[in-house]
Amino acid sequence: MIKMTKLLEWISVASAFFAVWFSLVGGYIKHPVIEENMNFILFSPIFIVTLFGLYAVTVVLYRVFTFNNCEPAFLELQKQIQEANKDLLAKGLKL
Amino acid sequence: MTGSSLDSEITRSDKYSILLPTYNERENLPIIIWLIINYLDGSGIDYEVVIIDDGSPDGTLDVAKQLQKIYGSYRIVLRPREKKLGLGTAYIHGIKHATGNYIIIMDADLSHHPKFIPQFIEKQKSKDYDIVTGTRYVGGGGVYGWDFKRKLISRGANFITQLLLRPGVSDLTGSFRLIIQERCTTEVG
Repeated sequence: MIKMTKLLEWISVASAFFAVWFSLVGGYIKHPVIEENMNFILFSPIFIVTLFGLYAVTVVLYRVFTFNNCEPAFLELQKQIQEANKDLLAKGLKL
Repeated sequence: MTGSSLDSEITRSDKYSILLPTYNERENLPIIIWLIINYLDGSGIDYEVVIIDDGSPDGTLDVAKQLQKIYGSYRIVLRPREKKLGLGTAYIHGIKHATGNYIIIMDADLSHHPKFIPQFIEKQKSKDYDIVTGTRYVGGGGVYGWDFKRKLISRGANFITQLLLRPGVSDLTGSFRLIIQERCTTEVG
């Protein structure tokens, strides 16, 4: 299979989805189940986008609050900076 | 990790060129150099530090020259440029002048700790990876002193790029990386 670019992947998935959606909404496929759920089908793209948006916000906020704060690394570095400054001064570095 | 186990895996001719692009880093540069030297000397890793200063007005280059005097011109290589030409071209400039067959890029502002360099090297050796890259978003990676807004922008931008591009890499914008000189020369000319 030819390697698609990411843009092409997005376009093909979106086209496939909207082809199905349009065939249902446009009445090209007739079935009682489709007609009973027409309102849901009609607004399904909006539902999907909204649900995904909620998922995205939840995930991003969760990751913000659990972002690893490297306190021990900071303290270690502070100590090493002092050590480095002392050693470099002894080696003749002038700042 | 012990120095000896790593030493046995490193080919004698392997050399690592650590690129340090700088702009107004006169206070941080001595520290990062000191840390690199302290962690890598005696580890069996052959390396050089290439300082690419973009004409810093604060005298970073003077400090770099002093460090070269202290640690020698084999360890500290100066490849300054006249004016601020940007980070991307600084890397290319450094890669062109590097004498090592491996390139390590890292920030000079102490965002990246040199103690991880041996782990990068070991990781690369384990499966002959083209690239090893540090991450802030998974495992032991992280940040320090970021406020909510900065974390939100970082996480939000990362979420979007992961969704749109699915790169298979958790941190696209971090700049602590190990790459292979001969595998990137075709890209940078």
